[in-house]
Order: sequence, then structure tokens, then C-alpha cells
Amino acid sequence: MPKLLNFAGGSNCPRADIPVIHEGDFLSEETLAGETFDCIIGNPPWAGRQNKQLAQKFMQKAPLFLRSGGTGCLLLPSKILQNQTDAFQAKWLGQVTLKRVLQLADYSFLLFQNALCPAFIALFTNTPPQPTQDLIEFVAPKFNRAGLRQGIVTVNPTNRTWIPLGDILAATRSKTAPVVWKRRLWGTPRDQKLLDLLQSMPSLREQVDVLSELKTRRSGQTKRWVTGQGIKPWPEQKAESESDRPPKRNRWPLDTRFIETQTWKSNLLLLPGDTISFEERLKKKNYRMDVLYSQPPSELFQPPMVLISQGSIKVTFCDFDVLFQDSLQSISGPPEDNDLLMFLAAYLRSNVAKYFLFHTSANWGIERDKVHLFELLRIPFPLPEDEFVSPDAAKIVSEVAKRMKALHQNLKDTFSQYEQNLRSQPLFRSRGAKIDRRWHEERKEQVDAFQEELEPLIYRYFGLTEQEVTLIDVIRVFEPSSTPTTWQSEKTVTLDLVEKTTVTPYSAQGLAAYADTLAETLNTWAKAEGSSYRVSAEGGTDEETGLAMVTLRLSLAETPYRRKALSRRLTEILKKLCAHASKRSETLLYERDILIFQGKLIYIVRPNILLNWTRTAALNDTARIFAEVALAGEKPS
Amino acid sequence: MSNREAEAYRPLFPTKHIPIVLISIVQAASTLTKKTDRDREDWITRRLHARLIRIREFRDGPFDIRLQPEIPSLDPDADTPAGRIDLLVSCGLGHEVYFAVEAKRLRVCSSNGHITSSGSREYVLAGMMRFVNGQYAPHMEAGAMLGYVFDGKIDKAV
Repeated sequence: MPKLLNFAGGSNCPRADIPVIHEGDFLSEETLAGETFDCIIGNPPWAGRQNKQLAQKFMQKAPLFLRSGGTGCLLLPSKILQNQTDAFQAKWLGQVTLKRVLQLADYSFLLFQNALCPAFIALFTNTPPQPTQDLIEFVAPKFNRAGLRQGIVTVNPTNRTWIPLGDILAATRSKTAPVVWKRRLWGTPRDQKLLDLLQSMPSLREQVDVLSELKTRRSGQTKRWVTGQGIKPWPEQKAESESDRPPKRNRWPLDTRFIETQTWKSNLLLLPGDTISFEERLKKKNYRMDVLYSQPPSELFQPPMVLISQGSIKVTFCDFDVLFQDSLQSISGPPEDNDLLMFLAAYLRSNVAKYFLFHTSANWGIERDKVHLFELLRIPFPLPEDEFVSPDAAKIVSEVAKRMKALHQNLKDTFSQYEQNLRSQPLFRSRGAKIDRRWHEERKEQVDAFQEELEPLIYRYFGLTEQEVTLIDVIRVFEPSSTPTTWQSEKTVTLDLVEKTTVTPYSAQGLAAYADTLAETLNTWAKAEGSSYRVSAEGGTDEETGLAMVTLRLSLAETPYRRKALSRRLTEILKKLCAHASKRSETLLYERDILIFQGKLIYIVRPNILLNWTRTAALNDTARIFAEVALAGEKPS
Repeated sequence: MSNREAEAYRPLFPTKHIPIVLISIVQAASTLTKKTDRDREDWITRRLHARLIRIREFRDGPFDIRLQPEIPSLDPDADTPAGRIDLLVSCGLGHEVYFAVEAKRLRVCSSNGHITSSGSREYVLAGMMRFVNGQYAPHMEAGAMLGYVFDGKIDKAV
């Protein structure tokens, strides 16, 4: 057999008879200097963080090895799209034409065993891009058990979108390219409208100075609030070295209250009973008492303040002096902003905040539920006097603060009661632990009920419409379903049969939740256009084929949703139609939506999984059906 | 193109929706004013877009209006950013089907206090003509030009 492999080792190694395979350092200038290829396929090494990510170097080098018009395809870490890589993205997207991104984040824990981070595949050509015309196909399949045995990844029609290259390039200027990618991961076209609206509002950053930035700029505080990380203690074992900053003398009294991150239950309101003394903390962790590694300004630890964990987002309001370590950060302000900061704490825990952060932060829904401070500060936070909020926004802030103060008092009373019970039975330690657990359970119940009660007030503050609240509510389906860690994960509620899910309102209404939203929205739009026609919906599911169908009937009167059994023959035909309409491309199966317009009837056919029949899906379908009906009335030009 | 081929082409953006879009723009622009005599076209469009997305037809209705921010030029020596149309209205048929709106400033006061006519030329050459020659909104049946008349004299604008 002829030798095909050309070793990089030089004269000691045998030369290839036909040099087809070359061993060499891809990044070295000498390797295959001047040679170009039709195609480059690779899985470059992933190492380094942000702009020091090694894979980026391979992305930059690949076009040099491609002939003009040649194709490149690389398996890359999702961080390249999601981390702060705007400058790199702007440069690389100016070099090549990125054709397709296959974002595999939702399969990251399933496709590659022991994967440390999610991956995407970039398909590009070595041609100059046309920034005003190019569209990048963005395919982000959501975990689906269908086809797994055959090794097929199913791509739902909503998992596929086209992003204008110009949008990404424009976003790199404002350092928000990662947000453009992230918004398309779970966000449907209707979500994009709501996210545009939320992003058009003044952000929290407009009210908050970041201490580290002030320090870098050497400027003073100009905004009403300030944010920064807590103290960094100095471990007793650690010897001072030249590379260290000089230790800071500890100016905090040792009896100052300290909140530990590990024991912090994040229950909206911090109580003195949640804390230990600073001395106890330093002793417990073997930290020095005389010096600290960093000593941020005291206003960070003074009330009123909102405490936020750096990892998975946990928020609490605090009305007393408390110290904390650098894994927590606070947003603190003057006493006159007490009510507004209370409102901020409640808002940061709300569904609106969750919805916004889930769709815009780099890690949540891709890797882990972590939100960076700079991402949190992007959250919309118009003040009560702002034109974008409800006219009674100031009243809403007062109302939320009033209710929070009442809850605070109630929690304090309940805690005193538990403490009293504990003191009366000092000999029974096991009973003490039980009382402690009961206190935490009761506290959580009270806070959860309170937060649920606040949601409508927060929707009202932002002046959100019924449709927008519907979109936000779907976060309860999407968020737990993202990035499953096992094939059988029960959290993947997107795959639940609609009539068997436990997620509200679908658990009670089944397909009716989708069908009613669709029919009601279409009828509202028809009324607004002065049309006398209305639609009514009926629908059913079929266990055998795993399909569901909703039928819209055009009539002159609105009638409530009707459940209708699907005939065996019909579902068999529909199953064949679905299979015929789907397109298999190697290991990817692109499913197609089936919408059939026939006279006064519109049939919508899809697999019976919750992902396909949410109220968000209904809102997206409404726009599509409305436009198709409008076009049907027009003759070809 | 034969008649049969022509029939195979279907209309894209429904023409019956165009008056609604135009009325909405007029409604949103009713509270829009220039902030300074040097106010930039893309800044005004951004403010207009912020108003438009709050109008019922766009917010909860069948339309979606997208602001197209300027793209930084890929040519490091270029003085101007790559041109893109300002606003695109889509209607549930995907973003490839849209009604395009291009905005230009008109009757802008120059530094010596005179009203310049360069805006009108740009309105026609870098606006209308780009629709005519297909640079903007290719394949679309209709598009719109929007003029920000800086001195409010609409009758003298173009």
C-alpha cells in the first residue's frame, strides 16, 4: 500500500508516497504554506477563556487554507457566540460568509459524554460577505426523544430561523452580538417583538454605577445607586507575596452581621436571624481578623440594599447593615429610595425579569442558570415617572413596598415564635432541627405566595398587555425544559403530551389553551379590521400516531372550543403527510408544519407535544394565518 | 415571462395592510420632534421605532416592525457605514416578506443658518431611486419613503 501520511518529524520519518494526509501545527505559518483546499472540516481544541479561546485562532486561520469559495465546517464551543467576543465576531464575520449555525446547546449534556461546555457547528465559505443581504441560517434543535434510536436529531420548525448578518455586525458595535444569538435560541418571532419592547425601555444600568468601573475610570458616583462585590478575606494560611495587593486593615467591627452565601435561602427579605457575626465567619473559615484582601466602600453594606448572588440568580432585600463576601453583590442607595429598592428586589425575582434574562443572558438555558452582573444591569427598569410605564407606576411601587413591609413583620413574628419554641426545648436537638426545617418551609411558602400575588402588579407597572403576559408565562414551559441532563429527564415538559402535562394552564385545558388563544386573537384582529367573519376552533389528539390537530372554521359567530375525536383513517393520512413533508438531512430531520387551507376551514397538524401547542405557538400561528388569509384575497400581480 | 410563470408568483406583503402601516407611522410621528438642528436621521428613526412598537397594530396586532441599525463598514478605509433600509414591516410570512420604509432628513439648517437642498437630492437619489433600481426591497411590490422635515415646511420639502 502506498504511504499517505506525511509526518511533520523531518528526515527521520518516512516520506509519503502520495502526500494526502499532513501532520503539522495548523497555526504555524510554515505548515502547508501557500496551499489551499476545497474544504476544511475540524474539531479544533477548546481551551482558554473569552478572547483567548484557542478555537478562535483556528477559525481565523481556516480561511487562509481555503480556496476562494471553499467551504469550512468547524465544531466550536458555544461560548464563541455567547461570551464577550464582539470584536472577534465582527472581524471573523467580515472575513468569511457564515452560512449556517447549528446550535447544539440543548443537547450539550446528551450528545457528548462528559462535555464541559455546549457546542455549535459553523458552516462557512471563503467568500466576502454581503452585510446588507446575507442571512445566517440559525438552527437550534430542542431536545426531542423522537428518532433517538436511529441517531436522528429532530428539528422542529420553530427551531430554525434566519438572522440577518447585518444585525449581528451592528450589534457587535454595542457589544450585544451575544444577545442577538441568544434571543433566537428559545425566542419565537412573537417573543422578538416583546424583547424589542423591553429592550427599548431604560435599563437598570441607567440608575446604577458599577464600583469597579468607577475605579477604572477614576471617577465619582453620578447615578442614584451603586453596585459592587463584597469583601475578600485573607486566609490565615496564605503568605503575603509580591504579586498580591497590599492587605487592607480590617475596619469592620467583629460583631457586624455577616450573611453566608451557602446558607442564604434567598427568600426575598433578609432577616437578622439569617446572619452570623463577622468574627464567627472569619474563625469558621480560618481567615485573618486584622486584614482583608479587598475592602469595598462601606455604602455597599448599608441599607437599603438589594443583595444578588453572582451565580444562579438569587435576590433579597436587606434593611440593616450586613457584610458579605465577593460571591455576592449589592445594589445600594439612599434611604429615600427604600421603597424603590424593595420594588427592585421583588421585580428581579419576577416572571418578567426571568423571561428577559432567560432570553438575553449568555449562560441561562445554554449551560447553567448563571447571570453576570453586566447582563442583569441590561434588564429594563424604567422609573415610575418614565413615559414607558403605567401612569399609576408610583402607586404600584408604594403598594409593593407596603405589602413587603407587612410580610417582613409577619416573617419576623413567625421567626420569634419558632425561636421561642426552640428555647423552650433545648434538650431535644433533633426536634430543634425539625423546627428549623419547618420555619424555612413556612417562610418559603409565605414568600412564594407573596411573589405570586405581586406578579400582576409588576405586569401592570410595565403596562404589559394580555398577549405579552401570555408570552412571559410560557417561560414555565421553556426554562425547565432547557439543557436536560438525561434522556429521560422529567423536566423536559416541552415533550409532554398536551393533555397529560402538569403545567398550567395546559394541565386543565389541554389543546383548548392553544386553540382559544388562536381563535380569540384572530377574532380580535378581524374585528379591528371591520370584518364580520369570525373563527371557531375544534381539535383532538391521536395516541396511535402521536399527532394533534386543531381546525379553525370560518363563520359569522364565535363559538367555544370543541373537542373532537380524530378518525383513524384521517390520522393515518396525516401521519404520512407529516413524514412526506419532513426533510432528512443526514442526522438531522427537519419537521414541517402542516397548515391546510380548504374553503372555510384551516387545519393545523403537528406532533402532540407541548412545545407545539403552547399559547406562544398560538400567537405565532395567528400572525401567519392572518397574513395568509389577507393574501388569499389578493390576485397575483 | 409567460402568463403561466407570472401566475406562479404570488403577492408578498398584503397590499391591504399598507394603509394601516402608513397611518400608524403618521400616528407615531405626531409626537416626534427633532432634538437639535443637527439631530441625526438614525437617531430620529430610533425614537420613531420606539413609538411604533407601542402602537396596538404592531404591539399586539399582526405586524412586526424592525429597526435596521447601521452596519459598520467591513472596509476599514470606508468613511460611511454600509447602507441598509431603515424600517422593515413584516406580517407573519417570515422576515423575507416585508414592507420597507426608508427615512431621510429634509430642509436641514446648515451651519451658516441656510436651509440646505442636499436633503432633497439624497431623498431622491439615495432613497427613492434605490427602490426603483431594486437596491432596496428587491422583489417587493411597494415600499415607502419617509421625510423628516426639519423646518416643518412640508410643501417645500422635496
